[in-house]
Amino acid sequence: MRADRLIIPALFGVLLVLWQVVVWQAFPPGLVPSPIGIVLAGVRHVRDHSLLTALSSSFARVLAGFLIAFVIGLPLGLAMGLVPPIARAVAPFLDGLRAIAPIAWIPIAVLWFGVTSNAAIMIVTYAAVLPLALSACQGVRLLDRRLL
Amino acid sequence: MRRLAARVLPPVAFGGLMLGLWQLVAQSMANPELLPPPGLVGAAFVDLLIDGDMPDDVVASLQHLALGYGIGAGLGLLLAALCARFAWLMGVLDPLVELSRPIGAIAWIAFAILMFGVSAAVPVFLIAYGALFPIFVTTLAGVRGVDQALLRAGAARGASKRMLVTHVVLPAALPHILSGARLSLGVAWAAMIAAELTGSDSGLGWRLFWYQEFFRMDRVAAVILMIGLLGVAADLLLRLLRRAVAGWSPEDAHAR
Repeated sequence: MRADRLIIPALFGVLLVLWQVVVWQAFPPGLVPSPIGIVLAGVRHVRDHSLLTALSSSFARVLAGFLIAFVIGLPLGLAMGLVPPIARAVAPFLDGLRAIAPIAWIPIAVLWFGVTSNAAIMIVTYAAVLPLALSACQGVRLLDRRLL
Repeated sequence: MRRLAARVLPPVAFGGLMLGLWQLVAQSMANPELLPPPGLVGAAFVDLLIDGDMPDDVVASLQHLALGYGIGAGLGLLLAALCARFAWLMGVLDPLVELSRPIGAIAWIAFAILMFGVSAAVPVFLIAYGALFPIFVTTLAGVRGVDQALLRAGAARGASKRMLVTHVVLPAALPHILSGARLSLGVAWAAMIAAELTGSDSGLGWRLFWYQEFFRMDRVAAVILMIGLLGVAADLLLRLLRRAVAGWSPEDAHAR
């Protein structure tokens, strides 16, 4: 048991060292990242606040897109769960949309919004709305009737 | 007949409504390129299909998918089987899997391009990466979730270890394996489009940006339509396979 716990971290340590050595020996500097290089870059980006700025703008977009998706997806899902004909009407189209990766909409999003935050928010909204609607629908359907 | 009508009518009505709405909004746009109307997109779709690039792009994408999914899902199955058999391997792989699984395939695009250059190898690699984890996790859960009573019953009746694997463990895990295969395919499909967009010189995703460069939004929409149709077809295929080989399972009714 003790030995087991030690072997696995040790293995990862060996892998990291191996990685570092291979990068130092086999590649021209700057082409392939090494573990030490990654840590240094991380520290640098935290120091000059660029990581924090990037993180906060990403989070803001995710939040905005998610809120919009909530406003669209939740009523849609509830309606689908409560009124079966609505679910039957919408389901084939939701299945079709699910097969289209959010990335595929980027040309359209950039066309409509330009290279802006709004284009990103549209993609986030699209990605979040389908699972939200489908789960809300599923949740209503699986509701225990006895509770009502 | 009436039940058929109840099944077919609502989607058709909803589809008609959406098409009408699309047409209306498209007409009210000052610039028709901003939202090509349905008629234009339909015409572009047919045009691309009959004497355009669409067949080539579909073939290229399906080749990426077949190769990448074959490698990724195959490796996922193999590793899951080995992990179920050898506990120490599980100890080594589990942290690696948990670490890499939340990193979407898309995040590796830059690396893949660095390693392979802009080529078909980029989508193949990313598809394989995306397909590996869902099937690995579900297969392992399926194999581990086999009812121990069934195993003991088999052993008590004198089944060899090999027979237990082929006659008890495999059938019991099959529904899990197949739903893992379906999850993997969904992830693989999305990874394929993403990888082709930036890292490939062929396929539907690549063509999407190609037409954007020429500002042919009708063709962009036609390619998106094709991506959706093919994705639904692929998913349907796996669902039919599942019903054919694991239709007996109670979990199958649940997943439909």
